Amino acid sequence: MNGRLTIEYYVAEGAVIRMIGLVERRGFRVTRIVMAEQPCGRRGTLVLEIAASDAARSTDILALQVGRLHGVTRVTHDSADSRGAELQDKAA
Amino acid sequence: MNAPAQQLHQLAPEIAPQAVTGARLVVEALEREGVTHIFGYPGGAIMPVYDALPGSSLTHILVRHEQAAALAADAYGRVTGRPGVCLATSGPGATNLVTGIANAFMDSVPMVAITGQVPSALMGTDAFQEVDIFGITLPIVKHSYVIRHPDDIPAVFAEAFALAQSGRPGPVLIDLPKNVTQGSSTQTSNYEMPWFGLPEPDGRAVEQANRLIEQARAPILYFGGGIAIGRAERALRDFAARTGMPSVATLKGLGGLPTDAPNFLGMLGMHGTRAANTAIDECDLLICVGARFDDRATGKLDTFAPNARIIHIDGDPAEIGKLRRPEVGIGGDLSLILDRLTAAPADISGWRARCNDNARSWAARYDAPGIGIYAPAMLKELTEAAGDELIVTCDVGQHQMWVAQHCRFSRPQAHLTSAGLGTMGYGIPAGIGALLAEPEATVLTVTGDGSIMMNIHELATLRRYRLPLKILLLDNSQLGLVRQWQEYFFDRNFSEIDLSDNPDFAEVARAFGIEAFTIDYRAEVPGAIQRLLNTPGPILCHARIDPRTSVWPLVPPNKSNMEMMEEEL
Repeated sequence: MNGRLTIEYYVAEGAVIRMIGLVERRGFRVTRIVMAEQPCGRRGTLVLEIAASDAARSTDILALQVGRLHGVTRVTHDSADSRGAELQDKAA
Repeated sequence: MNAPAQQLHQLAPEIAPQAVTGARLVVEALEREGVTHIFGYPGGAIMPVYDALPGSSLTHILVRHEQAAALAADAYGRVTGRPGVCLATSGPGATNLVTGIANAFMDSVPMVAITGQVPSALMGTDAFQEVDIFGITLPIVKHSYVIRHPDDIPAVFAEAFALAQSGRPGPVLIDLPKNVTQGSSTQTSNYEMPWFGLPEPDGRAVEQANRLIEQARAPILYFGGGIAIGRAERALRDFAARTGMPSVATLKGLGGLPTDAPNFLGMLGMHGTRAANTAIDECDLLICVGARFDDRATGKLDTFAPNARIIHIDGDPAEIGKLRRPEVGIGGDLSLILDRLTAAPADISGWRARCNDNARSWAARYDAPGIGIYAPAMLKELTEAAGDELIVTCDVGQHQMWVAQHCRFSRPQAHLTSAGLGTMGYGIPAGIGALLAEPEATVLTVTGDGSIMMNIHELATLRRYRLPLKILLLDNSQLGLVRQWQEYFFDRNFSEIDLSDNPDFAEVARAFGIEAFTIDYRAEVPGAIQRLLNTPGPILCHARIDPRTSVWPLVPPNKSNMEMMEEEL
């Protein structure tokens, strides 16, 4: 199952590896990465295209798990198993 | 520094700055957080912090291995609900903390682990005692920091403590390069404590859950470690009494309801009671509170509660639907949610009576033949004699399951066990942490002859601080749970389980200055229990038990809980 996570986060030491590591540990392979920092240098966006290692892995749950990382402010995800793209906005 | 912490730092008012060292700021930050005890072990890179400790209000507990520092801090955190603090130097000091940090992570325990680090200029150069503890622990911490400037210390510590204990608690690591603790700062510390709360429960979901409860004819309340984490036992007990529904607990849930509470069927799962597993199999509504459908509880997942609709309530919304998609999921504060579940099920008296009849019919028996010590009976008698102020810590193995099955628990904090990680060696350090967290409690560590050797050096810590820990060592001269699995699931191919060359444990304890005695016969048990409970200082009872004894019931791996094996009488 393929999907895409768009993660907004505060730039901090270890932030990117923390997010990517979590995705891989939860049973997803990262197939493409795009990232950008805002000009202020304090916020960034990470887009991950991912493939689940088996059918039991849910990107809905993965998005929640990424969203609970400290410093992650917003996760958008879109995949075959989600009921449409969903948003989690921790600031809301 | 992490951006949220940076924002806090910027909130700090400008007050007549006075230069202090980073190490002093660390100590002041800990004092400000209300920390009273630190478990640690000094070494090169953390020496500036140790230099700043004397004269502070902090009591440092010098353990004999850093793993014990982390495990003691874990138990301290479980009992108090506030982060336990452990402290170690860089390199091997830091890596020795790893098992304890993972233990806290798996069981959602609030902890702040502080490590020394080589100076920033040497980081990444393979310097002496340099290890990337930040990287090593990324998968097992709730969050982590490397502090790069002394100015950042107050804000990072405030944020770390808030993170560790809020929402779903967990360990937070702070790595302190030596130049940071030796450097100086004029940073003031007058800022607000951050807080990261739980989401507000979804009102519509609560309504749906109430409707399901009204419709249920055979409901079961299934609760886990989230009750202890959320300090939700009052709400759980009210809900159980209000609805009268039968209930079961996970290993970590034990004590959420008292062991002898009405309609409580005991622990479910691999070593759960037949009554609990049968009730789960037959129920039409499963209300899961603060549990996570762990494989040790569910057995083969697709056979678990096959006829039930599910209400899943958890402090961590990411747990809801992770393994079993519920009809209704509610994330948020457990007490708040349980108090809002005001619906009553229809008449469930017949269902309740059947569950309770099963519990009576299938209750554990304590009339094992022979004259040897029967560990389940001894544990039951010991905890009944000890009273409600008892805290039991245990290690991992057969004795851990016997503790869960046969001990009496009056509250969630009465049972400290390494549930998620299954850390042999947890018991004695956890006993140390529990005693310092609640000095008036009677603290009992139940251990095995395999587990005790993992951290036996902590007998020296007990002696040093004269901590009145009561240790019951159940010695079967082998790795009993491994033996049991090899016997039933590996064609009796017994491989590397023999520990018959164990030392004389009573002699070892006495060498550490701990009172100790050995028993072999059932007739000696009553006297041993009295001696354990009445001795004012630390004491070890070495009880030799039959190596053939197994833990029953047992659900074979990857089988349904209804396929449990039971002892042939």
